[in-house]
Amino acid sequence: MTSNTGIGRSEGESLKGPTVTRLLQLGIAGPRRPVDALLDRLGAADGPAWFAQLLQRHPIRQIGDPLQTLVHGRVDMTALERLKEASKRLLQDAISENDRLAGLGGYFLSIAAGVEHHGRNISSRPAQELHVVLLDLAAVAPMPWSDLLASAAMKALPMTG
Amino acid sequence: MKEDVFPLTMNTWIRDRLVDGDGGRLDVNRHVMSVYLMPLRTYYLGTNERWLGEPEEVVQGFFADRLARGDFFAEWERSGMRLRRWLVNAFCFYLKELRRRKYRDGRAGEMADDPLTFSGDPERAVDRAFVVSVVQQALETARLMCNDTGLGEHWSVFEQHYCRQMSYAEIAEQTGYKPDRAAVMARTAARKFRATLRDLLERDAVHGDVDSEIASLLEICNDL
Repeated sequence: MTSNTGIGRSEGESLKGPTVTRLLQLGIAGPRRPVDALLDRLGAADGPAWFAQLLQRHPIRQIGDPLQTLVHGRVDMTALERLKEASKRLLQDAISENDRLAGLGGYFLSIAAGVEHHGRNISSRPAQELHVVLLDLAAVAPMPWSDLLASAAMKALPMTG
Repeated sequence: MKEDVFPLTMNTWIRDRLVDGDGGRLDVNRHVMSVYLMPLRTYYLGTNERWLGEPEEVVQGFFADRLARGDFFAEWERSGMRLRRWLVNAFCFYLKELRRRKYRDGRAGEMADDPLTFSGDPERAVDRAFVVSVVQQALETARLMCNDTGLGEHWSVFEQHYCRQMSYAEIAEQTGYKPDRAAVMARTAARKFRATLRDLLERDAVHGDVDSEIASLLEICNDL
């Protein structure tokens, strides 16, 4: 088998060596990240209902109407920083899994809104890592939050932090 | 053939299907025939036994003979081997039987007593073919899964990005989806693909450490 050898596929296309390698790499799960618990929760059957409750509770409710502020961008950077810090505190002090997930949710939504509406990455995460996490969240979040996260994911890529 | 270094456990999918009666047995057989046809065909073409028949016919004959045996998978479980190694071992015995049969029928000529040899590294050749086969099977299974759950468009975007290496901007031009939406769609389908691929690799009995197995398989991808 050489690098030019194609393997027949049902649609008459060929699966070349580099493509096989790329697809095999996709199978790597890697160590479980903290955000994976949030992804699992959002991806559950009652994920959208849980997310709706998340938007109505601390720490997100401190920022006002989340649709107006986080999705439509009627919020300044100071408020987003405050939301991020409150979310981190909740994450650290959480006494339940639900609190921990709420902290994670607030944290990533504040970061996504910062990137989307102000062009700033308020986290210390490298741009590539942030891109991947926001894209993962966009794949399980309900609309219009999925759009916010997806757009922020793409805008995060050229940022350096 | 050298022994596998990782401690292996019979994976739960095959065990669960086997205790599920004839229907489960058919599922297991279908799985084995779809994933392992290519590795066994590759092995056969590398041996000095190619004269025994057309590759597909010989491999299908092997499947028909061995998969019909009630204790075939129980013996595999006892072996502690990866399924692909176990199948190649069993296939070697089958080829010897086939050769003896041809000899008895007077069709083997002088080659009947030659030992079975392989041109090159048989494990590597089988592993390479296994990688391609398992990736192809994962693509097909995940595609059907996406179609069945209303994610057919997501799958198309996944294929455009990951198989044809189109950028999200190019996909956006072609499909009308915004690039960020295309990225999310590809990501969603990629999660299905990842789960399917890992499941297929676990069925080969790499229970619990699929990442390590992928890492070792990636090493041989350089030869693809």
